[in-house]
Amino acid sequence: MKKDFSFIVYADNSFGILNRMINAFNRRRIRIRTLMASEDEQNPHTGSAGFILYTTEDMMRKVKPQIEKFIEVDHTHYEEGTTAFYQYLQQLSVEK
Amino acid sequence: MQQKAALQTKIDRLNSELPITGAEALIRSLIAESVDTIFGYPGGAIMPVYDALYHYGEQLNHILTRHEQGAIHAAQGYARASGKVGVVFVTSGPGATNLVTGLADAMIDSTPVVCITGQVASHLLGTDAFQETDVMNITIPVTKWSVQVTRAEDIPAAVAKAFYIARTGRPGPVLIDITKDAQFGKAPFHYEPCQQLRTYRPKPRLQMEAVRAAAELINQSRRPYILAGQGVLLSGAMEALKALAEKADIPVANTLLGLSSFPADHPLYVGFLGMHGNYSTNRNTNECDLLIAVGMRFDDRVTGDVSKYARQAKVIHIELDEAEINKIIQADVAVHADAKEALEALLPLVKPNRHTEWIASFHRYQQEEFEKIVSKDWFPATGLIKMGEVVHLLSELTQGQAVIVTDVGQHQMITSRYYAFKRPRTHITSGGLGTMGFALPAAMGAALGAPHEQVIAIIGDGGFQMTLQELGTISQYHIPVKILVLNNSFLGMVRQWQQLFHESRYSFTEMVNPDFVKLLDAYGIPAGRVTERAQLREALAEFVSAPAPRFLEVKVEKEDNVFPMVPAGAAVSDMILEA
Repeated sequence: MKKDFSFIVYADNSFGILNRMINAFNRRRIRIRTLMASEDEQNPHTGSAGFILYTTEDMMRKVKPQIEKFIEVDHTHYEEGTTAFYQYLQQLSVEK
Repeated sequence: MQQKAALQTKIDRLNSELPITGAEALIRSLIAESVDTIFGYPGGAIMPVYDALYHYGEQLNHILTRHEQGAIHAAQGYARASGKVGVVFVTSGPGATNLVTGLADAMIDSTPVVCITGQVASHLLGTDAFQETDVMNITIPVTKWSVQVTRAEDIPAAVAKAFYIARTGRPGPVLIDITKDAQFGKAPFHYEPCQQLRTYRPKPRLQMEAVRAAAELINQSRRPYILAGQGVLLSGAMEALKALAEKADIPVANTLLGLSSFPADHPLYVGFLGMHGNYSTNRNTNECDLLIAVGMRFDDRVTGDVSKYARQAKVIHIELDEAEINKIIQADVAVHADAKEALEALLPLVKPNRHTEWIASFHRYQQEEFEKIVSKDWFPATGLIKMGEVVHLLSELTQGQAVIVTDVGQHQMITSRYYAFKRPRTHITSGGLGTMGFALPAAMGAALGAPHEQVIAIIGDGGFQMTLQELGTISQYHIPVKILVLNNSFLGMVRQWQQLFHESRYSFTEMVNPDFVKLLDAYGIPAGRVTERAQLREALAEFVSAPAPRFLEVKVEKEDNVFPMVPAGAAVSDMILEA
């Protein structure tokens, strides 16, 4: 059953990495409801992106290692629901 | 240690405090990475690089292909035959876009290539300048990594990173797009090979718990079955695989890309998996009690209907790429590791065993397949020449020792079934992407990457005509490739499907071909043709023993089919032996 998931990615801030992530979701026909990406205030060479994705748990399990496989991606995590995404947004605004 | 010191000495000689151009920095970086061969095609946006290359002709052998697609397939063939990274130079715009098929092919088949594309000057990016295209975004889905370089001083680090990424972990294609101003710009040159990257972990730490769990399943199993993929070849796990199979008496089947990872004449080798694989290998997938998948990704051509695939069996999946684990088939024990490391760790934990009755069940299926299909393919008494007898004879004449490069289609499946590969890295094909036109340029690259091997390209008449412009490259550089075209004047595999599943409506699959022998004559490549069975052995023997390059066309039966087959969407155990 499809539902909302918060998906947070921490990565190097390099050209194209966001495109790679979006391509991976598009290729799997995963709907991106919301996207927020930001470079790190302290270290602009790194950054993060938060997504609200509408898909199945099985798809989340499969797409997570595909995103983590990208060279610049450090780590990811996902949770069911949107809470983690909004916590991520809050964390970004506190840092800024 | 000595090798490392020699490399450092070489790099010290290349380093320069005096500023050099970005173009020359690229060339020196490639030399520092021990590149010896480049496949390429020059054009406006990469001219500074070619100008720099002009002065390094003794250290770098550049092969001018006749099309950029030929260049990247040649680099793939070079990489697969040599185990090194293939290198490609092309210009911007159409030069870069012509790489896309090869990049996609290299990506899905885990082939390490580094492609250097020239780009317009950085101030022209995004302006629709002449031969400007957004190669970065076009190639993102088909590259393991890509980078655009706009400053000369960034070139050495980009090259170092590119080679490290291309050859480590699960190998793959990398693209470096270099703007023209970066090629012209100047900077001192200091090369540092890349050893690690903060966010990239190419080799996972072996989890001994998973290895022990795998050993336990193997020790308990009564009908274990090893499926060996290309990961075995890439990690150099051939001996470890053989040792494990022999110790626990486990039959071994190969995926298409795994062919040559286990000797075809070994008593435990049971054949080729998949849609047009062997009868026993597919049937017994649904009869084993343990599948041990090593360095393979459960491609849909291997699994058929996933919902009916090996449901009765426990699954051990040994795989370097974590994204492949549980992607298609759920593993009971997942060993996220390099295949060689995992198999070597597994070996002492596995108990010696015998599975005589289980192995005999493969032999019974093999006998059935031999009587119904193989014997008719190898020894037809009448009718036109069959592809099967050509490949079987070639295998016999070369003693399974040649490097065989195939294209895509019926001849590819026939070769996978009937050529008895005896040594590792002797089978090169386009597996995942299924790129027609792959074989001829890939064979050129293989011949240059493995200069002491006999390289034979086996191609259908359709695929041959997709990249036959590379005959010009073979002719110019006298590349020692043997080319065997099995000509049925059809796009044979599509025609077979039309016959079997579309009531023989042969919709645009018949080809009217040129006189290939005359064509080869125009390129100055000795060529022959066989139309009669009586001439076949002699012609093939002459083809094998003659100096290369050499071409042989064999006119084969037009409507020959490849059997057995798993119909699309069927279970592997529903494999059919005949129409």
